[in-house]
Amino acid sequence: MARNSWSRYSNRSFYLFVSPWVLGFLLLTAAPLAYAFGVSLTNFDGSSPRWRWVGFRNYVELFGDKEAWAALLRTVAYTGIAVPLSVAGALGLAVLLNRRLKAVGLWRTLFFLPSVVPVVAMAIMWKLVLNKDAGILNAILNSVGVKSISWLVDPMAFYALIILTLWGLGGGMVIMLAALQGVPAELEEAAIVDGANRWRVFRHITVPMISPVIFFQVVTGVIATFQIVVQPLLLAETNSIAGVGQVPQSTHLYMVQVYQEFFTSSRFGYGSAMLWVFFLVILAFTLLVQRSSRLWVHYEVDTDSDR
Amino acid sequence: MHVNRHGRLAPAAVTQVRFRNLRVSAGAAYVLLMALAVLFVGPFVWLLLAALKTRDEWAAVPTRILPHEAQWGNFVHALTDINFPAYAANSLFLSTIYAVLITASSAAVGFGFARLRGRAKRGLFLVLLSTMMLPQILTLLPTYVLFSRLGLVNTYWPWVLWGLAASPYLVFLFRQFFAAIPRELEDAAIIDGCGWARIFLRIFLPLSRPVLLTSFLLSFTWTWGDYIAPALLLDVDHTTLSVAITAWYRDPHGNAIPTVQAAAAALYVVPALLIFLFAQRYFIRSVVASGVKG
Amino acid sequence: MDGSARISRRRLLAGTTAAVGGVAAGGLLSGCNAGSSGSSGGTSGGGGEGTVTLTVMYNNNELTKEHIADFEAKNAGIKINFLQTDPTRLNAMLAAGNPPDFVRGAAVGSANVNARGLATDLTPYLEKSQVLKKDDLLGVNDSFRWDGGKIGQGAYYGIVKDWSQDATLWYSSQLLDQVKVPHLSDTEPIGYDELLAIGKKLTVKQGGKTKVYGVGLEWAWNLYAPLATMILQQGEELYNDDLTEASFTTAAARRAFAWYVDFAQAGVGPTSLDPLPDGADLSTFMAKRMAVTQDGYWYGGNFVKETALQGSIRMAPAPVMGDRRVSPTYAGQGAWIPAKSKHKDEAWKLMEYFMAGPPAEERAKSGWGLPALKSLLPKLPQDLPYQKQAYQVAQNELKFTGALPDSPYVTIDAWNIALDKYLQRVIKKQSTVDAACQGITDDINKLLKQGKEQIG
Repeated sequence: MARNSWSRYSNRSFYLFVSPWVLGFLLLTAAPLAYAFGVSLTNFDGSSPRWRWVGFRNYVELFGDKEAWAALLRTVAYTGIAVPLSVAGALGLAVLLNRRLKAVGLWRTLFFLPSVVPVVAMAIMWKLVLNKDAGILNAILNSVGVKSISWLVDPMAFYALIILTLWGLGGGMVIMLAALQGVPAELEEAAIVDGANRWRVFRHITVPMISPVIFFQVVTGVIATFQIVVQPLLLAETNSIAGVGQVPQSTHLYMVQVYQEFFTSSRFGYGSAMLWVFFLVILAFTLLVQRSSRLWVHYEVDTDSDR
Repeated sequence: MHVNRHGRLAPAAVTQVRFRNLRVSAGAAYVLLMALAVLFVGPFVWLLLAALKTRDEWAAVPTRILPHEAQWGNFVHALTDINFPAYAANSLFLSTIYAVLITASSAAVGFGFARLRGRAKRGLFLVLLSTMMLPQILTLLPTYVLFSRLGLVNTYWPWVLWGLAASPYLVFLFRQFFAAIPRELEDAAIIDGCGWARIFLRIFLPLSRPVLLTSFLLSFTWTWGDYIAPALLLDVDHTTLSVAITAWYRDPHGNAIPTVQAAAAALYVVPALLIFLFAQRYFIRSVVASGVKG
Repeated sequence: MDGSARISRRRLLAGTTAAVGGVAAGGLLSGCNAGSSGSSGGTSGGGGEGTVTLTVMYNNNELTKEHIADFEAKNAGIKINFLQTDPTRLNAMLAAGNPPDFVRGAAVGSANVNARGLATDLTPYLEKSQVLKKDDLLGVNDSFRWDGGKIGQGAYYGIVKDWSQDATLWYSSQLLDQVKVPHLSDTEPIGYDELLAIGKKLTVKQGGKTKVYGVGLEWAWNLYAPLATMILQQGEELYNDDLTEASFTTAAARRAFAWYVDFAQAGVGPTSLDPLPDGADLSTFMAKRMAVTQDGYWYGGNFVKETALQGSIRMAPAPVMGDRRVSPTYAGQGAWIPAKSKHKDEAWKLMEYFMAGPPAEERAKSGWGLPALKSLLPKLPQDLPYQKQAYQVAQNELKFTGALPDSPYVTIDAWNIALDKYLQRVIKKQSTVDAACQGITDDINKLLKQGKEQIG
């Protein structure tokens, strides 16, 4: 009986707690989105008043756009490699640093450092490190007898991009650290007392307990990795605004193609259509991960129930 | 959200569990960490070295590792060629406001999604996740038009509004954390007659200090490094450090001066680093829960 | 920004906090030689109490705080609200119907802006002005003209602030002497084939790395302009009469393209497949690791303080492919006034000040580019020997100015993208010159069609 009155009460509370986001969404996001959808039905060029409604022609054209498809496949491949590596890496780092080592604070800061570095600085840094002649990576490789590699052009650019992405693990590490902190000690203690070794404790207790957070990392990782555009652009050897043209083909991801349509070809309408389709693609992949999560994610509270 | 039980167990067992998870021997751990640290910090060290070189040394082949003579002047230039302190202050102000507001709102909304019941919950959560999947570029232009019509261009109000509106990412984060907390905690409070607001403020928030800090840290760092939004909305006098260092270290004919830019980038990183260094201490400290579980 | 909130994990994974849009690249925009015509503007603000607030979008190292203060002092009632050049922002402001009053932009590539009716016709202002007169304008300003169908004639939609003949060469006499290559003539241009031959002699490779580059073409900055120049010099056209179709399969185009392929395959200079760390020739040239670089008169401004280098730097005329000697500008940076500006008269006053007043004289005296007005030419610096030499060469080249072809239906950026893409394929031997030229023609024609449909 107490339950019944509580569920009604919690209904109102739910809306109250969620209201900031709902209001914000309606005011700041929904309207721009409607506008953006409208634009995808035109051939708007981004600045002049000379545009026309073209209906769904942009979407139809997109289906036949070979460059866009190629870029999409590249993006899926890239995400498929980068996300698992990132999540596993972040977890591994967090595990290593979730203990009272000497100056562990410093260690954590060192690993977190790359996440804090601003885009431009990062681009300068890595372009220099990866440069074929003047870069230090090749200098190191040369000293052990490996020939200089052209990191920033095809086909190595793809791997350079992955390296760059993994370099930013620090942010994920921080979240994993917070998650590890939240695993109740008594569960692990009980298992150890029962005779389990550390690996089994990790696999059967710790991981399930932090699986909501791992799920979070995977989902947000997929969503964000699909959308990257900054790094390919800035890694391209360029000093001018024709930056898109300098992006090597192997890192010409979907968003780079979108960027090209928007800012080089001034096709805001077509670019918007590309983005809406992309949204559906990302949604599909996210739902996939969501479905699979029933198998491996463990919640203390049933978050899916709404009654 | 860390329920501390160590008062109940023998010290030996506790020490074992303190070094939890994979028990790699301390020595091996250090070696591994050092190797990784070199990889992670390497590029940054390279950046610092670049900041201390002259322009020719910077582009030299074969690769020069150390500068002939450390050009500390580059750092001075970085601070004086543009009004570095003023822009830094702007960035600091904006980042702090945004981080505080968005952490608070996201925690509340995340709590709602995690622990409360509502008819539209599943649908709303899906919408929330979906907004993460929309690339920013899609709404760049309309957002500008919106703020332009509201007369909020060249003010800091957009950040206040965005902060209050919560971030889908952070909401998701909080939701995951809150969902992992045992039900018994709130049951006890409910039986005592607490309303949800008090449960949120008195029980869940204190338990989630690492997450709150993480959220603050992340959102601060986002805004600190954000280029797009300030470039689009702010004018030269009010803009942030990220815009300034990207655009303005130029010689008279517009060539970027990479060495001074590197120095500025190195300086730029410092505040966020300091905040992290300070905040991460909370990731060791165990937070004692207020009386639970029988 | 709501977007910032969404970007989240991307930032974590990548350690960045900014998605890009045009801005990041725009922020990296370098000086005069940037191929794009993208310029930005500020919103026109309404001034209160009888003052007019001009919103100006420019680079703050070109239109400095001192200039602004000086202008405001001389024009009571006008205040300037300064915005940094930013293409995304300009786009947004134009779309919102609230553009800046004074916008930075290049003459070459301006057809795109003009054909869309975004710029104000400045001809009436030019005719009435006491300070900035039509007859005083050098030929380079013709690239800002558009008559509804052709560039180079019709109304003036912008004024150039400074320019250079960007196909000219700068070389290090020291490096040339080392391999006994004779100095380039001050008045007679060398042919491109000869340039390539010299370049090969000057290139020094050591153990798989290039220690000294023979010739740098600023590949990262512009491919369209030099290639278009080569085509012009052979007397060929790039576009048809109404600028709706392009052809890159003419013999002239193929020859130009093939020359670039040979250049890249011989390893004579940096290319997009073998780039420099900072995307520009300057550091490498100053470090004496590059013998010749193709840049305009403005390049000399880099060496004013380099006493060690000054003795061995010289400028040479633009090389020629074919029999027509043409020495164009690749950009011609200047300013234009958006059509929707609410303070055109005041913006024109700023134009007069900036293009013919103290800032213009300062620019001329600094040697950072050739002025766009005939009357300012004598003000170019001639103190240092290399400056004198460069001035002579530049003066001589003036006779050979020409306007690069420019169609409003496609951007220079789009050209650069297509050119680089196919060049890379042929250099890597994945395609032939003929196939590439056809591919470029097809790509560009597709874009031209889209552009024509958009603009109408």
